[in-house]
Amino acid sequence: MAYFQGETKGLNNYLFHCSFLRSLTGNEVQVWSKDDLRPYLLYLHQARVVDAFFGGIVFEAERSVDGSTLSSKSLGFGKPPTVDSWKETCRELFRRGQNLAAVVELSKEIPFGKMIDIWIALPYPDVTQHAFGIIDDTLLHFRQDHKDRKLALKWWIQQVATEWQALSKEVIGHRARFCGFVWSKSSLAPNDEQLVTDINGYLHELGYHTLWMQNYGTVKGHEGKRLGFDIVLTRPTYLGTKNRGIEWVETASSYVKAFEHGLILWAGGIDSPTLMIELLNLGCQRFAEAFQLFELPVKSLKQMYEKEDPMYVYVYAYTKKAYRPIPNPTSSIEK
Amino acid sequence: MGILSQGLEEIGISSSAYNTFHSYLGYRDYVHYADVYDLEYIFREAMEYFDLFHFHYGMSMLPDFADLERLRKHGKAMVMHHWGNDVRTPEIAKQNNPFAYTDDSPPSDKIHESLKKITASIDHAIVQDFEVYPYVAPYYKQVHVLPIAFSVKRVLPKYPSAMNTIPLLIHAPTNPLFKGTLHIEAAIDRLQKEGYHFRYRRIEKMSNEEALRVYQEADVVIDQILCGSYGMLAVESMSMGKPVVGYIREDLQAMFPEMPPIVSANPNHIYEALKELILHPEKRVEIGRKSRIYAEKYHDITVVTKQLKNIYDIVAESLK
Repeated sequence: MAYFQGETKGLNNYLFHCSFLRSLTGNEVQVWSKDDLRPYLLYLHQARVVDAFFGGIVFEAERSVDGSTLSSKSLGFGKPPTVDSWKETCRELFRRGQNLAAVVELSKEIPFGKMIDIWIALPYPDVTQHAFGIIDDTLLHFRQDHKDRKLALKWWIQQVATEWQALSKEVIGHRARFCGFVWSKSSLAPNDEQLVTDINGYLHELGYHTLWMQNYGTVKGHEGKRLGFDIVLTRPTYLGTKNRGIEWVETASSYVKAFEHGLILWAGGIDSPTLMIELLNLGCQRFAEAFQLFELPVKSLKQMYEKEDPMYVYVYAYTKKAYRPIPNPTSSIEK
Repeated sequence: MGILSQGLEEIGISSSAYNTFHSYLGYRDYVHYADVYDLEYIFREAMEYFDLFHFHYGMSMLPDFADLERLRKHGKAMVMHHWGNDVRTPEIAKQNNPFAYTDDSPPSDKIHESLKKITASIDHAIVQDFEVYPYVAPYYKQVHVLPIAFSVKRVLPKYPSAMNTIPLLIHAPTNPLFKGTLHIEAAIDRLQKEGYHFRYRRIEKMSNEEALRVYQEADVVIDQILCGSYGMLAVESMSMGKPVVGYIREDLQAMFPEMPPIVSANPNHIYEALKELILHPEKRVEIGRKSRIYAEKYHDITVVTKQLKNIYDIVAESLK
């Protein structure tokens, strides 16, 4: 029994989750500039680069600009997506000067010998969609024909792969590597199971890694390998409430270890203002070596850096295995 | 649940339904497949995004109802929809119905505890009829009765044939103990041994979509004969123009807007009721026609959605 460790597959540990396009609840469109990304990819002190920071990024579009659902998390938070919203996701991801293109540019600034790992979350082909749109002269209906969901995903993957090749050639001397795709829907409907198995097989043929972000407790959570995922990251839904306190994370970490998963440190709880520090306190003692993804409120780490919040230092120290538990913590993570 | 979301969409109200209880029935239209952890994960955003929360089956989004107080403080309208098994205690059930089966409900003290927690934040409940009403009425400020919804008008009725001398009887027990399957099949057995001509088919482990296709072939549908009221199977079957056998408690009959055309039979009468329908094809046709009319009048999605919208208006108004 051991936690999954990125080194075993030549992957960087400590990813951060980067939501882009329209947020779940508001009208604002999230765009990540180089300045936004710099405090994540580089550990900064008074605007000077001290060290490399996070080892990789997971980009995930939550909703399209017109409010269509893209990520699995956004299901129910807007209308079902169309082929145009999926195209927009790809276009905005690679738009020069922002988001993924900004990461690739920025990767040239990271200390010599380091690389940035890029992961991209697949949009979720929502089964409530009647008419997704036309791809290769075929009108796709996710609701009527589940094969169409696979066709759409393969098409989107091809778009991303093509865009990546173009961007990669364009930015001379970058040090970003595109590792693979992420399936971010935790619970799997019966027709999702076949879909992810097929898509994982397809991605492996193309030479990509596959990663599943799931919640601790989800029914098929331990079947990631059977479904063809290379990596499974488990998110303990630590809410800071009764039944979902820090003990929940402790129990989850035992499960994670038993099934060789990694962990998602999700700062989305509702009651505990010290939640992030509690996670770091526990993590440095229980699962320091595990492959981990930080899922923090959008751009919160940048704000911490700008406000000189010690949390910025704590997270950095954690990723370098130099963090020590802080008793009676206080935190300024803003939700 | 999905059907209500569909109905709301048809009158221009955006809604999203999440189902965390998955069975072989495979309800999937207008419902997002989820589990309880998915709901925990999206709770904060959901609290911001949605205006009204319609919970079902005595459950909410976070463990121990930790979400309800937050939603209330956030000024969100809330209503809890109880379906029966989530609140049916033996103490009340047995008062008016010696046949009631409650072993698939939580223990009474757990039901009481849950209802106390829920009603600390939620004032309004929805129930499908007056059979469920007394279990929750003491707890809520207001309990609304909303009949089961079905897309009645999208289903073409297929009335039994008066010429059919070997009728097909169908029973589809999702929970045989609750439905009284033992009594039903004992009556079937007796009728078969006595030489009556009919066919019997028990439907189980079949998706709802598939089952609906099978019900189309039925001449008689046997619903539940213990509970004292009727459920989804009866509504689906009435919509198809099928005569339905089920038990409508005598004291509840006047509580319906009009007496449902269901052939009422409890375990004491099931044999007679089935025999009557087997022997009289013209009755099957007549009751089937009445059933369709009743379903259109009270259970069609357009009718029920209007009532639901009124309930939502009342719930939202009560926040002001």
